[in-house]
Amino acid sequence: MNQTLTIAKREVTALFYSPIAYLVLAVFALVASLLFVGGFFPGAPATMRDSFGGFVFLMVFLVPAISMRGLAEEFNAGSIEMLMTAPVSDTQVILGKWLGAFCFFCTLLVPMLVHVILLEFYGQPEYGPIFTGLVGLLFVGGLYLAIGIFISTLTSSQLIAFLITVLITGFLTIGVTLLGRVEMLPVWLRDGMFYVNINQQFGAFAKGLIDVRNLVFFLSATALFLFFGVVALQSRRWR
Amino acid sequence: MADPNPSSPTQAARRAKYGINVTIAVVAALLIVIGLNVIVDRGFRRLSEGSPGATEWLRYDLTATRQYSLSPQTVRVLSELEGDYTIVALIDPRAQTLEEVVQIQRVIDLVQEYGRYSPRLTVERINPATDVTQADRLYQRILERYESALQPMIDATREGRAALNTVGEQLAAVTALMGAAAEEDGLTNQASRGMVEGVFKAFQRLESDLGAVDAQVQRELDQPLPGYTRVREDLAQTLSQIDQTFLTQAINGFQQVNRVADTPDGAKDKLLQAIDRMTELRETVRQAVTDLQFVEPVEDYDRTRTSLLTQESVVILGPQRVRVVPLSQMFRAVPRDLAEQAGELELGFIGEEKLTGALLAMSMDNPPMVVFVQPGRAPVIGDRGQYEYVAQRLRNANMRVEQWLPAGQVTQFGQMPAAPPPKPSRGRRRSGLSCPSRRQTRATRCRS
Repeated sequence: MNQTLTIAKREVTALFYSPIAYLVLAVFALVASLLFVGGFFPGAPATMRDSFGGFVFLMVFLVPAISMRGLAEEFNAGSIEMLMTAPVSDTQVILGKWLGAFCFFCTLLVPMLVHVILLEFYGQPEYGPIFTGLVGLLFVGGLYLAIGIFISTLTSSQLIAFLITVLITGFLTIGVTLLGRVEMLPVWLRDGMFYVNINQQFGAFAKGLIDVRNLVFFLSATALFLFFGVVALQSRRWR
Repeated sequence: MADPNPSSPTQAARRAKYGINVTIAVVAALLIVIGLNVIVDRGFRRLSEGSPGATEWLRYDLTATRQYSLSPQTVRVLSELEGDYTIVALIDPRAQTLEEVVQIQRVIDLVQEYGRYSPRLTVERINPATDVTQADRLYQRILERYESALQPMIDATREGRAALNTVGEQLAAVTALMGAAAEEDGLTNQASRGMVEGVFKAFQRLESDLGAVDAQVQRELDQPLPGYTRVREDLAQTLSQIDQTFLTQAINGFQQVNRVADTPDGAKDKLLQAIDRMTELRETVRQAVTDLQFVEPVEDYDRTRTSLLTQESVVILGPQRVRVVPLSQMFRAVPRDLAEQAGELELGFIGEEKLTGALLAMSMDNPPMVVFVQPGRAPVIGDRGQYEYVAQRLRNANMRVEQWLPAGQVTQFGQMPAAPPPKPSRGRRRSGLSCPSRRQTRATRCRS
């Protein structure tokens, strides 16, 4: 556990030293605020439901930029050899990387406090749905980061890691939405696509619901990709 | 540690062994995750259909007004449904005003909740502007449920159109006869000649007008939900106009012409033939008009059709019946000061009441009757009644609400004797339950 936290701490520090992280922070703060302001006018309901939907879409492109450093950077700089020979297990490495990226992701959501304060100032927001929405964003972020960390174990190029991760996160949001409408596909496949649709899974959180099915989906999918990451890292030893 | 000889057979064998192990582990993990999700999803669905209360904690609703939790009454109605039901939100989300956007979202959220509690109820969402095929299929399903009720109307319309066609066919023959009569050399009387020529021209105009009427009728009947009542009115109006303005006047006019002494025999003969034909035609037309006027309009169908075509609605398709709840009826006006205190939308939203009421009404043959007993002078229901809100909710659930004054009414003529209590309509089970009113001395009795 300690080793995991050490790696996580190192990852957070490294992220805050890299310019790309600040770029991500700035872009997220700007676009998220634009999305928020778009639905912020007299008479509009004092909720963040629509903004949350926009944030999830935004995260498709921004979260992979956080996770792309992951292990790709280690491979590129050659520091992986040090990490692999250090007395830490592969699971600890992956978990530490993911946790570090997740901590950074949490700072990404800080500008949202300003949105909530604005809502409180101008209206009477309902805090239940705002709270569940934030919880939902954390789950979505956690899943995207797990995907990103997994992909970063497969390549030494950050750009490739970023692009492939965007491809997957994009598929899980936009791709399945479009494919789910193709009537030629069998019903079970379309149902499956509807189920793995991140927007749909996040929808309940944005409404103000904490549904055990969504929790199971996000937790199991995150665990699955983290496991894939561990397996991919381990495979370097015998490949 | 790097192998000194990468291509050695032991290395390849080890790689294969690890490769197979890893593949198995990855596939197993994938299957476990898929299986877990399927089990949880199915289990949750079964649980909410079986014992809805149990899922309350598995799907925790953090909204202040519990927006996404249906009332126990609704859940009970849903669990007792017999036959398959479909709730369709027929809504174009490109709403005009901000208020509409919010309302539409609220209704769509609500409709989705209904799908959770019964395996016999499915929920659909159709945008009439873009999902044209699906919308047409829905209209077809609605039409099927009105088929037997609409049959007399369809028959009368068909006969009306047939009469119109007969008029079209016969007019050609009649105008030919008139033309021949007008060309007779002996028809020199100005008035007679003018009459025949006038009718001739009028009939020619009518012939082209008939085509337009028929095309209009055809257009209406080609609609996904044909407006039979309008078609019926159009046909009846056109046919009675043909009867009164054209045929009757022409017959009378020709009879006058034939009475004029200097009308040549040839023309007389032709006009007589025309009169015979027109009289026969008039009988057909009159019969069709009577049939059209006799058939009762299917008001329920007309209401359904109008609200479907003119406003955003939620359609409930039952095994035999259809109910349409327009979006506008799901929201009621709330006083401004109240609205500002509570969530203004939620306070005025009675969508659940309306939808559940409609479902309840569809599952019952006879709506139950509720009688409010008025103990004193103060009205119990009505504009000034203190229980009007309760009555309103009962009406929303499609119950008949009546008021009864056992003490009789005080009018300007003095105390009137009490009217007999309202009776439920025939064929209804007579069972009762009583609901005590706030005044403990007298009871408000509900009959069902």
